[in-house]
Amino acid sequence: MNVDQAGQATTNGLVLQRNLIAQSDSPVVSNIRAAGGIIVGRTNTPAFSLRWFTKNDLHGQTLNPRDLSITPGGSSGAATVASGICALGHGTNIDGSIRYPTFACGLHGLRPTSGRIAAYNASGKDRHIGVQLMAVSGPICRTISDIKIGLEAMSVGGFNDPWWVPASIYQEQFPRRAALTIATDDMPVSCEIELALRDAGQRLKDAGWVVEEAFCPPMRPAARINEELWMTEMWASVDLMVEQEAEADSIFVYEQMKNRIGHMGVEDLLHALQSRAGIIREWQRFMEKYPVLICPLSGELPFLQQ
Amino acid sequence: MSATEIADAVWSKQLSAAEVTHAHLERIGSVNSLINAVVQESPDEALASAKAVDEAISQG
Repeated sequence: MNVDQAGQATTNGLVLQRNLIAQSDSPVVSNIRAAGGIIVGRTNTPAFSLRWFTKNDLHGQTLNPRDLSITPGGSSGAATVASGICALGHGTNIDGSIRYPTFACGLHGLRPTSGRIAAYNASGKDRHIGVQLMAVSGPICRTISDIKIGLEAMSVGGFNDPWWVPASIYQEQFPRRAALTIATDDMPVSCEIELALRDAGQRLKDAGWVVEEAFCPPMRPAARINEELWMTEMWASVDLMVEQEAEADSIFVYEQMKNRIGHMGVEDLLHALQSRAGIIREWQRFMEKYPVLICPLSGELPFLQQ
Repeated sequence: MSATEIADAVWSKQLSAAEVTHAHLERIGSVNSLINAVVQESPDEALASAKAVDEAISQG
């Protein structure tokens, strides 16, 4: 509900946008159609696409088809694929909206590098720099081969997105070496998650890879910058809308973000972008050695439904 | 069936895109009321797209 599809409302889960009818397709939608993809429906999202649960005052609450007592994650593309309603889903991701729902629904999700899959919602204004850098589209699937065809279809092109680059998605030359990090930073990790990570590591070993337990660069500083950049966007363009929409859960989350991050001024934004470059450099050095990192997406099993 | 298997079956004309689309629309009808995952439906558009895909494949 946050991607333009001609003739459909881009609601982003908001009563405020229930009549915001897109006049044209986002490039990612055009690419899916051009590959022969048939769009059977549009999926739910939390209001402002902001939480790890999917509920809003316009479309209601989505449940997890695997287990009605746990969250389907924040957006319902994964619930749709897991329930057999469609074979291949599309999701958007700033802070985990592909990754967490696919984790909660037992599927595969790919959050590609920024610029890989073009997106553009002509129904609204361009977003600010932080979200331009962080927001991506990606496939949600039941099998890895479906991830491949989903990425191939979605990444084809789109000159309406200034961040899109026509880079090949195929990389043949890389060392078959993976890092296994059970606990990123000091995060507690449940034994079920640890077992699943070690199982993934063993499968790669069985496939001929070298798998080494190693500490990846810390994630908390990157998560902090993600939140700061998102908060900058909220202050600049969404603050009044949260008040007008008056949806209880997004008001609560926004208040938490305000308490944690506070007001983001121009210098704060510049510092966040400066630190971001250093963090990316650190990760690129790590991934030069380990092209694959096996790590927890969440330290806990999916949260109980609200 | 995975998306890859469905795509292969449609390209090789073992299934038509219209049949696949009908099956998915029926699935929406049978399970979506339990989970509320799809919140905007466009069955007519989906069937029209499927027809276009089938015509494109039949014309090679």
